[in-house]
Parts: sequence; structure tokens; C-alpha cells
Amino acid sequence: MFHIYLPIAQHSVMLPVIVGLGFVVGLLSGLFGVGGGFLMTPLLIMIGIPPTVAAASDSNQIVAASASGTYAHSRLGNVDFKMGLYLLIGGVIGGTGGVRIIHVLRQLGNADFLIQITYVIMLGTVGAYMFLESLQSLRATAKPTTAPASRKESAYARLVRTLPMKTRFERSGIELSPIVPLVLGGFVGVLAAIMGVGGGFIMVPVMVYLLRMPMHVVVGTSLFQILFTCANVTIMQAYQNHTVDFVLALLLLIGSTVGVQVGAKLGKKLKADQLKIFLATIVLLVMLNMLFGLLHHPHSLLSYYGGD
Amino acid sequence: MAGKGITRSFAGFVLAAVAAAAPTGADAVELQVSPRGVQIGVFFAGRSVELSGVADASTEVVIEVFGPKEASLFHLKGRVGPLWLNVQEVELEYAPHLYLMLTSDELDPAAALGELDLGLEHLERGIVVRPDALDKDMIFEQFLKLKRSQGLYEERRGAVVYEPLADGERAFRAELFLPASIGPGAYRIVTSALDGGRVVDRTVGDLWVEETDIVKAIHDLAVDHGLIYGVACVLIALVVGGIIGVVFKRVGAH
Repeated sequence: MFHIYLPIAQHSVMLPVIVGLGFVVGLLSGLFGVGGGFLMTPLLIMIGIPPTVAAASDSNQIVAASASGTYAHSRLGNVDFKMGLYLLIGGVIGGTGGVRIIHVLRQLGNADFLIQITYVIMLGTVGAYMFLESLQSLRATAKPTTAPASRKESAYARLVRTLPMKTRFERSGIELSPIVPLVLGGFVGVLAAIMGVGGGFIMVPVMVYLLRMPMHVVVGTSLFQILFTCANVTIMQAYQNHTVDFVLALLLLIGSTVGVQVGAKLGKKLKADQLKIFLATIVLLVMLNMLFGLLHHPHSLLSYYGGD
Repeated sequence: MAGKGITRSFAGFVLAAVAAAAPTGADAVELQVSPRGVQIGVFFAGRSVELSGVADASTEVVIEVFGPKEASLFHLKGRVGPLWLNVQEVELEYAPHLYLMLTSDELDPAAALGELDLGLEHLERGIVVRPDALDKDMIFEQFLKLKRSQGLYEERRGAVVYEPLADGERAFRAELFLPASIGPGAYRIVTSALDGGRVVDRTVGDLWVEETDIVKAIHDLAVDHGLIYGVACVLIALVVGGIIGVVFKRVGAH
């Protein structure tokens, strides 16, 4: 009686499992400002949803979770709409390009490999960097959470200073060229389409370390731009690849929209570095699981076309 | 879905197999299927179908269930350095989406039934693997692993039970459970009566599986009107997300 049949995935799932999964990932979304797709998509694949359907449907549910989360954070004054707008313009352009890439790669039979390998590389890089940085920051307890003053950071800062059309982002308390969030948003948009994620787990470190925004504004602004990026990806995937399973997305978003609200409230009780190191740990665990899947001898050497 | 996209036509080899195994005498086996059709609705979680009939007391009954032919395109994984990656596309023709073999306790499904045009060995003979250069036995072995992991290919020993009847006959009965991962299409149930190491009669029954109501409507909308479907998905997600946000604002205010 708790089974629901998914018309696009052509697979039956347990209702409490999917709603519960949505709640847990929504909780992380509200806490960290990530869409949670980097966690949700692999979990959906594990329970038998075809990878391309899992990724596309997850984008759809992220629309709801990030709308709910943006609303919660905007009430707290934690959304830099101006910065978010630049990021999402870049994200929409990048997302559209990413969907085209996936469409072509699906025909070539490499789409799902690209999804997996992109996951491993991005999760590993972002997770390891956040983990080490947060660990150092936690050890030096007196030091506030800002971007590390490394050599790379200095080179990046010099590059950013040379860019024209500087403008003030009041909510974030920074001044820089809009080219920076446009390019970074485009980069995250491409990844969002390829990986079927909102890109939040990449966008959050980008905002913290490259845009130097305060952590509390990062979470709300990240959700704001994820909302639009994922809406675009959902429509493109539905139109071009027919891989959005709305029933699956609906079940997930019922859980995630509640979870994101709970997460937003819990987040206020944790320190920024605690949040970051927790997120980094989850990111690394997901990466290790994906890596294991690529290294371990598969049960069957055959998989369905469009599958893993 | 590409992997589960199935056509509604029967696997031709099933019919060929039935024709090839010409029964030798009068009807030695009869089969009834109840219900004759299965509907996949929103809450579909698999479904049992009752199979029953009468056979000569001297015969052993084997029931085979064949799903519709799949659009059977697969990735073949191979080792590239330390990684297991998709290295080649493989096409399997005439492979049914589902294959179930039901026997009584008295007959081992793993026995050499291929010579009687029964079982997996016979199934493999009817499947065409492309490219031709591939090792067909290896591909079929991997195909079986994949299908068995989904519960779509199974040999169920002990599924057929008998009850004695008068006049040298006995009734047989089997519960056929169709898993939740079956797709729509026409399924064929082939019942064979074995006696003295050969097939003495064979009868064929049909079973229809179809999507109904909202499942079919969503599937058709997604495939035929992708843009409208995508926009609707986003709008509904926004509305639900907004409603939950407002609800929590009110809850939080108290």
C-alpha cells in the first residue's frame, strides 16, 4: 500500500523511503545552502532509478526545496539578490549548454560515465579543500571565517582587481566586477546540467572563497540562484531528453521542502566552520562511494543503455 | 526510458518454439489464466496471477512466462586502467523483458531442458547478439545476471503444485507473481507437458499488462509534450515550495 509507480522511471518505489530521503537532503539544503543533488542523485541510483531519470527528476525537486529555502532565508535578510541575479544569468547560460552536452553524449553512450566522473572529481576537490580549510580554521578558533590568504588567492585577487565595471553588493558588503559572478555562475551551471544538481556544493565554496561573501548570506543567495538554475535544467531535460519523472520529484519535494525549513532553523544554532566541516565530510563520503563504484567489479558487465 | 522501452510485439522466437515443438497426441494439458490482464496504476507494487489447469497424471508440467520484446540496447563494461567503464554498446534481439519458469518440486529447472525447447538454454539460442564478434555465451551470462538482479528472469522450482483427479488426470496450480518492475505489453504463458523425456503437449495463454489512468497520462504527456510537461513540473514545484514556506512562517510565528 506504500508503493508508488513512477511513470517515467517505470519503477515502483516505497513512498516513506522517497519522502524520507527528500526530508534528509532538504535538511542539508537548509543547513548549508546546497541543493542536495550531489547526495540525492546517487541515492536514487542506488535504489534502482535509472541515472538520467534520477538526475533530471532531482533537479525538479530542488526547484521546490530551494524556493522554500529562499523564502525562509529572505525573511532573515540572508539573500543578496543582486549577486544572485548575476550568478543565475551565468547559470542559465551554462545550464543550457550543459543540457546540450548531455544530449549529445547520451547519443554517444558516454553521458552517465561523464556524470559519475564529474561527480568524483568535483566532490573530491571541493570536499577536501573545504575540510582542510575548515579544520585549520577550527583549530585557530580566534580566527574568523574568511577566505584563506594563500598565494593562489592573491593571484586570483589580482585578476579580480583588474576587471572593469566594479559595482557594490550591499548585502554581501563587497565590491567587484559583475564579470566574476557571471563567469562563476556559468561554470556552476554547466556542472549543474551535467550532474543533475543545483551546483550548491560548488557554489557555496565559490561564494565563500572566491567571492568572499559572509557565510550567512552565502546560504540564502546560493538557494536563490539554485532555484532558477534548476528550473531551467528541469525544463530543458523534460523537453529534450524526456527524463523528468514528476511523480518521483513530487514525492521527493514533499520531504525536502519541509526538511529545508527545519535545516534553516537548525543552521542558526551552528557556527560557520562547524557547518562547513560537516558539509565537507558528507561531500567526501559521497565521493568515496562513487569512486568505489567505478573501481569495484560490477555485478553484471551489462547495463541498460542510458544507465550506469 | 531507453532501457525499459518495450515494444508491444511478442518475441518471435516464442511462437517459433511453440510451432517447432509439435504436440504428439490429444490435449494433455490445459491452462487458465486469472486475471487475463494486469493494470499498472499509481500504487502498483507487483501483482499475482493465478495459473491453473489440468494435465495427464503421467506428465510433468512446466510453465514459462515470456514478456514483450525489449528495445534491448546495453552498455558493456570493461576495465580501463583501474576503472570499470562502459566500453561498447551491445544489442540483444528477441530477448523478452521478463522470463519466468515455474516447475514443481519434482523437476529441477536447471536440468538439461534445452533439448526440449525449454529453459534458459533454449532462450539463449533464440537471442541474437550484436556485434556478432562478441562472445555470445559471455554476453548472455551477464544479461542473466542483470535480469536476475531485477527479479525479471527467474526459475521458480516448487511453484507448480498438483492435486490428483480421476480418469488419469491431475490438476495443477501456480501463483505467478509479476514484479513491480514489469513494463506494459503483451505477455505469453507457455505451458508444456513432459512425459518420458519429451514434450507431449504445449498450450499458450496470453496476459496483457497496461498502464492506466494517471500513469499513462503522465507518461504520454512527458513524451509527447515535453516542453509543456517541463514547465508544469517547475510551476508545481514552485507552488509547493512556496506553500511549505508560508506554512512554516506561520508555524514559526507562534
